[in-house]
Amino acid sequence: MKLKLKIWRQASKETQGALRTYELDGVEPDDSFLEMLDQLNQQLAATGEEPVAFDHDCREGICGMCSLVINGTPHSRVSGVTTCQTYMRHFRDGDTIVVEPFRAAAFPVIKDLVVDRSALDEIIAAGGYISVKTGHAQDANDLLISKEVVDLSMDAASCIGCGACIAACRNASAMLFIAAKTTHLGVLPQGDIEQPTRVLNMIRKADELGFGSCSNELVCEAVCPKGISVSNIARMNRTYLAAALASRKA
Amino acid sequence: MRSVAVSFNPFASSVFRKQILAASGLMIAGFLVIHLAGNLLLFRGPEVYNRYAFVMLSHPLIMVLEWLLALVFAGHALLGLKIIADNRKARPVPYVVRSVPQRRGNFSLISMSVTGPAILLFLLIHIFDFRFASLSTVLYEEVVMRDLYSAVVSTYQSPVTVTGYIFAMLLVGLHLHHGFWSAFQSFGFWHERYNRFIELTADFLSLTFVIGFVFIPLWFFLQGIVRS
Ligand code: FES
Repeated sequence: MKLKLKIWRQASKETQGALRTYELDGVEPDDSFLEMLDQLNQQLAATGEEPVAFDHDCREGICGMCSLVINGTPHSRVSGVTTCQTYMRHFRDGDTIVVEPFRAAAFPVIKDLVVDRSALDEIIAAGGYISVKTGHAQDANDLLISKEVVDLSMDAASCIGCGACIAACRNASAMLFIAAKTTHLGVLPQGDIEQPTRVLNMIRKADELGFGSCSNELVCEAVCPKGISVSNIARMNRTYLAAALASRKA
Repeated sequence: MRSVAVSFNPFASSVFRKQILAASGLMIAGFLVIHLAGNLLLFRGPEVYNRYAFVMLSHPLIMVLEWLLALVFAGHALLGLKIIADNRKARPVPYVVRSVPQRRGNFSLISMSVTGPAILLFLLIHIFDFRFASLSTVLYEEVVMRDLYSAVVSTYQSPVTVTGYIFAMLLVGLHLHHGFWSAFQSFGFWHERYNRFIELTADFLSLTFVIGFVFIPLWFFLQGIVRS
């Protein structure tokens, strides 16, 4: 396959970026999107040009590091997969592909296609954990949890924290991310105790970090590589309302 | 719900603001039902309509409600504008290409941040046209009343005005279609069994308002053409 690539190039946080056009030939349909970029980088290195910086780690769809906006869609239009699991067979010979970094005030571009997503870690640090002393393992039947609740928690826990929901949202809102984390922890008995504070604190942190608010357009759910449901946002909203009304001064 | 000790500022909170927006929006939707029903009295002739308009302006209880309504409208609009401004800040550098799959149908391509301010503009014109304008008066059984009926009919003789009204009503329909559903989601109401019902209610309400509010100016406009 022969492709025309328009890639966002930006030398550093401080400098201005722009789209640059490259031609790439010899791409196989079974190459992954990142393998295609590897080939481009070899070509660039051969001519002495600085290779394109992009994030990646596992390349098997589980770590959440890869983060490209391909033709306007985070992780491309292929639904239910990450950028690293997007294959070139989904494109056609001669296609022009525009590649941009995730865009949000809270995700500053570090270089080219690499953005700083440590804001998500800060949200987790504001409440995305359970503070219980583990002690001795208790008898398994002491804590009864229904299969339904376990599934709910597990589905939410499949969030890999890539930030595609934020990149896709018109308002760069982090609601689906926070909803996944709070559902994952909060529907289980161990996490239930801290749930009101968790929800209030994580959302406050996101507000401070400059993420936008949710307009319920559901674009987040549509681009999520793990199919996290917006019903989690509704669950978080009702917990939030009750917790906010019941909260005392800290 | 357990009472928890956390600092919580309702107006800085993105979620709580949305919940206030949702509550005020639902109240406004309720008002629109009354507004449409009242306007249908136009078809019962000048006297019925003018008397109805007179009661709406002079009954003490309705005067109090009008103030409350103004407050709800102002709150909804100002909060909405603030949310739009904050959301703009959340993505300072736009995408060169943005193409995201739509779950809420293609209507959602037209954002609330577009329909909202446009409707606000219409509303300001609308209340200066009919609520605050000094109109000619009529006399029914010794009581002087504003001749709102004639004002409405003559306003709807201009093709430009009628086109503007119809366009504004389409925006109201879009705004309500998303807003009604979205309000429930913001409050956290989500249930497999009832979601469909909320969606259908949003369809029904927005369609009813569009048809009803478009029909009135169109009827008087066409009647004007027929008569002349
Ligand atoms: S590189 Fe790990 S999910 Fe894509």
